[in-house]
Amino acid sequence: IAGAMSQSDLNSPPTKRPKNDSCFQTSLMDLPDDILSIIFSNLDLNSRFKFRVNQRLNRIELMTKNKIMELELTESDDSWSIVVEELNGLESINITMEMVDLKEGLKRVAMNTSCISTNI
Amino acid sequence: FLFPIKMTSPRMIKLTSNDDKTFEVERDVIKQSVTVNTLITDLNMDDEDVSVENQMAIPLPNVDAATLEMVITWCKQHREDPPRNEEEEEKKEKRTDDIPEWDKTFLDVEQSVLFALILAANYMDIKGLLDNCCKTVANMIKGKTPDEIRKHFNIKNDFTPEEEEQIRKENAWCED
Repeated sequence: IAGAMSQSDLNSPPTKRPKNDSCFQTSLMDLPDDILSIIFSNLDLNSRFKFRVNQRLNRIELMTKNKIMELELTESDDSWSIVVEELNGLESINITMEMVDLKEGLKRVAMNTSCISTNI
Repeated sequence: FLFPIKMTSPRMIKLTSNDDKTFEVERDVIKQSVTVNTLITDLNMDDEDVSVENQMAIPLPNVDAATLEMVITWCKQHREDPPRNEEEEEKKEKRTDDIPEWDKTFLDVEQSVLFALILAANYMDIKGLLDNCCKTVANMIKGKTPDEIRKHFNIKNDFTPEEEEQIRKENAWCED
């Protein structure tokens, strides 16, 4: 039996596994879709978009619901400013740019976001 | 009158990893695994008056010994945690800066070890461990560009040029 640990083991800082532990070669892409979806749900919108680094992750992001509290879109002169406030109260996006550059990102967000109210 | 005090040792459960190592763990510690807890209940193992030597070991065919040892260590550390209310957890705001210090140190391991731990936590249905592992991975992703993410996690870019262009357009509002 390998797993006998005393109470004193718990009081000490956690011990690290050896660096060259060859029996563990699990990679991020070995994780199932539902786990990768949990990881996406822990990311702010900015990081979610950037984590779409291959076809599978792009597909899983689309299946993971966005948790946006407020998305504020304001027109001024020739440009639009957008402020995205997430459920945790943090602003993940606050940028001013032309609508032509904004619209593809907005369309993508709209694909997996439920809208309660809209203010433009 | 002096009454003899009967010292009862905690009930122990045996778990066997996929590389045939057997671990003895307190019943109270492993209750955090919904998978193991359900098996113990369904097999009426709580009712049996069987010594740990004669007890059937619960096989965990998806978990190797080194990972199982880490899972047990985590469960021991968190044995006093209040039971999770999944409905409340779902409603709670998602944060990744609330990982306890002990867990931060414990999960500061090579990527492959962390991912093996995620698979084990998922299989054994230990929500707290799974949550903190996923938050740790999310923290590794935050602040990185797509190329840095690919390099860090050794992910191959399999987008076609058209898909790549679409992603570039959609990411235009993301700050570098």
